[in-house]
Amino acid sequence: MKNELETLFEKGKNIHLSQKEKSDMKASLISYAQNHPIRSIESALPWYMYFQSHIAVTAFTLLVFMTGGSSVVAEKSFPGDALYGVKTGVNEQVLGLFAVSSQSKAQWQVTLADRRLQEVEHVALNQNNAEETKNALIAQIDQHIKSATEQSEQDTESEASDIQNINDIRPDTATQKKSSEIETVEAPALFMATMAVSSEPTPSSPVRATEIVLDEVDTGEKKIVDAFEKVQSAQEKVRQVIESKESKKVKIQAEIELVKARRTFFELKDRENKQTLVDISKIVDQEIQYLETLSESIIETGDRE
Amino acid sequence: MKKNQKYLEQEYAKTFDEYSDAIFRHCFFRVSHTEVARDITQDAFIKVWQYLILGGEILNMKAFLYKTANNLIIDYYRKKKSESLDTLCEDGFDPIGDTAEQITDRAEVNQALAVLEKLPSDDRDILVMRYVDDLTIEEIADALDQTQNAVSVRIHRALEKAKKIFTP
Repeated sequence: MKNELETLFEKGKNIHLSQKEKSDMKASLISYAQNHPIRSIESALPWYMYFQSHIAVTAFTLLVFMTGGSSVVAEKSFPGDALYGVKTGVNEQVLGLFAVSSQSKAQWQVTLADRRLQEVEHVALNQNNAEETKNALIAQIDQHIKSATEQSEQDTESEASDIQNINDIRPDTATQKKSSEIETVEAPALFMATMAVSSEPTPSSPVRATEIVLDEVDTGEKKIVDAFEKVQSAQEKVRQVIESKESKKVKIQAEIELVKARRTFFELKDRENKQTLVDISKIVDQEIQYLETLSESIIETGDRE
Repeated sequence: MKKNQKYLEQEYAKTFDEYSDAIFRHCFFRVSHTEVARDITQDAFIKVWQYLILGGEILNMKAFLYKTANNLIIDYYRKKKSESLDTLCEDGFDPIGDTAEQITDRAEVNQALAVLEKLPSDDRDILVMRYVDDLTIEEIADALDQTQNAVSVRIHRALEKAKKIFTP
């Protein structure tokens, strides 16, 4: 009995559409689909076909986005972004747990200072009227530098003095002096440029005069950018010197010094709008000189080891 | 937008390639009539597209197709109530476009099906879904909107009944 039933079922499995039936039907279905386009395509599109064949992939992607993903995205956030809280409140807290020895703790503080520096530069460049944010970040940088110095001094009493001497090289009043100077300097770059133009032989037309002024401003801006790039390459050189050092202690101390330098330079640079070209080039020259001395000093410290 | 439409059309064609035979077979067992089975199969696929136009989402295409086909078959029987099943069987062999082999296959199955006709249609349907369409219990449950447990029990009972028919 069962055999008959089974035979029937087996036979039934052979039932299928002929090639012609199939292609005819397919053609008419496709033409139907083409004549009735799906309008609300967004709602129908990805889910119905994709979901059934890739359900595992979709679920996994969703999971990654909901958990680890947000913290990866948060890494690229800046103050004011929605995920910035995750960056500082979660990511950095977790990463900080891995720093156990006082050396690695100091290193971690330097990294934090570096991250805040990148943020403050980003904020200065992209956000207007962000004085409060900038000040808060600078305060944090100072705090990180302080903790880094404390941590590194805990186990490196003797060597600490070597690089600390460098601090004397830098005119310690640089910041204060500059800021007082800045307040007295009234002429902004644009004004200087205008002055330069007005001393030239009379321009043929007012339009021409404006063009010249704009040109001057352009060259002024270009000079400022060039100068900043010089400082950046000087910082890069110091970094290379630090990389070449073998002693971890020296490395960390040198890194602290570099972060300090970058922080101070940021403060100077941030006032760029209120300064003349002359002032900026002065600051830049001073900074480059300081960075060079710093690298020399780091090299020497290494020699004495 | 155009690209999406194109993509959907391709996916639609793929779906047809994948399931058309199974749906046709399913319909054929239920209506015992080549041409009707063909029409219902085509209608079932058209319903899929119409459903998408309305903005619906189809998570399980197979279950959706079987469910649609089942509904269409029910509609068909409601309309054809007056006609006897025998009449349908008689004009069920439509040689146009069929190969000789296919005709024999379909004819044999049709004759065998006559035996199964003695079963209540619900039992017949569920056996066909399980043993001819090779659907899993889960898929049948999805298509019939019943629990997997209920489906298992129904298959078991239907099999018992079928056995009795084949062993008088």
